[in-house]
Amino acid sequence: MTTLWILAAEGATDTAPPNPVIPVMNELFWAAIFFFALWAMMKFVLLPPIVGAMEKRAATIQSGKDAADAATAALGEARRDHAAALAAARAEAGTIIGAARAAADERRAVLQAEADAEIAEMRRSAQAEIEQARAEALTGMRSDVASLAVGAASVVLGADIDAAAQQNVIDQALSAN
Amino acid sequence: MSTLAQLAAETAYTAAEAKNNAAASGAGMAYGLAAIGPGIGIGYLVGQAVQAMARQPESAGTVQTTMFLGIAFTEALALIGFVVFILLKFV
Amino acid sequence: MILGAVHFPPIEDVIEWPAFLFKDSDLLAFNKIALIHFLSLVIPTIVFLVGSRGDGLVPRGARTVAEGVVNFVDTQIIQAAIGHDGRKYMPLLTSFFLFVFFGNITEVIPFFQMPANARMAGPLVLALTAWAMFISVGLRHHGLGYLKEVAFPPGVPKALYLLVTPIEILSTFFVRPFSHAVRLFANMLAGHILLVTFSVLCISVWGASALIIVEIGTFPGLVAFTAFEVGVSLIQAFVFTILAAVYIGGALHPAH
Repeated sequence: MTTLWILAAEGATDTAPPNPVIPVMNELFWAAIFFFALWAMMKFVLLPPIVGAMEKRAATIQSGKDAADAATAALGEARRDHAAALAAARAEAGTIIGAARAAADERRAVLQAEADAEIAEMRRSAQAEIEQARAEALTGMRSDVASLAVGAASVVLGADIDAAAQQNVIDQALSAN
Repeated sequence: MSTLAQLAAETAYTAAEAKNNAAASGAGMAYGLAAIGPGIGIGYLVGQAVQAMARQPESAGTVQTTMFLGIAFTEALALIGFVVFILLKFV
Repeated sequence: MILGAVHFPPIEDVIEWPAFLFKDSDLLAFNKIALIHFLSLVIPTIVFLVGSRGDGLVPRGARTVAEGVVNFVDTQIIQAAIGHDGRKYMPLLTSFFLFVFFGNITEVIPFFQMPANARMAGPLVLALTAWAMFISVGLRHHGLGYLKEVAFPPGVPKALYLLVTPIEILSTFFVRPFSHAVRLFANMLAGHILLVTFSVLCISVWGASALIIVEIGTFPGLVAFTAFEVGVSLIQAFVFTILAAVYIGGALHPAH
């Protein structure tokens, strides 16, 4: 019986296996040292250049975008100004053309009037000439016709006729035409 | 008597063995029971996340991130059960 | 049968690592875990230093990696959890993220095959730092009124304070660092033991038979779980960092 107890007692004292959950001093020490070293490096040495470069790039892109927006706005404004100037120029050109047309019409009217006046003048003088020529022709013709008629009549009558006495008859006949 | 002592020594059920048996059964039950709750919880959580992503596809990124966060919280409980298993089996 | 030949190594062989420098000192013993922590310091330093060379207008090479990490922490963690005034916590949160990530990812890297965060030392240090940080932020911004705001949250009917206050005090000041550390630790330990189990199974199965076809269940499982552990490493690094950010944000603006 005692042998059994001795054997049981022997079996109960086996070496306790280490607890896998308990942290070990050396690993704690090295983990703490290296983690705090990494934290310090990140804060003072490693992160500032990277973060600074990212922010600088964002600022460059932003300023480029702002400049592009400003340039687009300026372009829009320039386009609007150009269109306005074009419209103004067109309007002015229209005004000028209208004025020129009116002046041309006026001049034409003046020239026309002058030409008409000249033509009327020429017509009048020509008319006067014609009248004069007609009158002269009439007078000459009268005397010639009178002499011819008298001569013809004298031939027909066989006697001399006094031209002056027959002048009224001849005038009456000529003025009947 | 010596043969009896020998027989007793060979068939002895020592305290260490008894402790190991109890530890093994306890450990198995500990983790098995600990895995039920988080299993149901994570299944429900992922189902709701899938529904949310189907309803509103543009929030899929946020929903996915929150889903992983929720899974980590719920899984922690199952893993505490795993730690109990390790402690019982190997300590 | 085959399963009778599976010899799972004792847990100490899988989790504890012998020191190879300063072997006899209790405090300074430098083992594989300490080496992984050292690399978690050295690799980000080298990447960030190489990346900050030259003019940064067009990023290339290491600068892309560094800016990717900084942008990820800024948009997904700080903007999501704290808001605009959280920019000054960027070094701390980036350090958390990178330290936890390198501690996790060595689980699948061939020479190490051990996540440094499967030992409680790393998660404990990080969780205690996050705890000290959010308490100090709360005290600096709101004075002693911060403790009053945590213990007596506004908008609760007076009678319920008897129930709510002890729960709030325990939950904020005691459970938070514990769960913060244990979440990371247990995830990594579970993943590590899973991978070890599958590897041991692969070896045992091949040891019992010379045909490779017997690996049909175990080897794809090992590969799949390795890939899964890469995802878990990333997710756990992200969750640890964003929880630290949520705690700090909660201390900055406690109105909720």
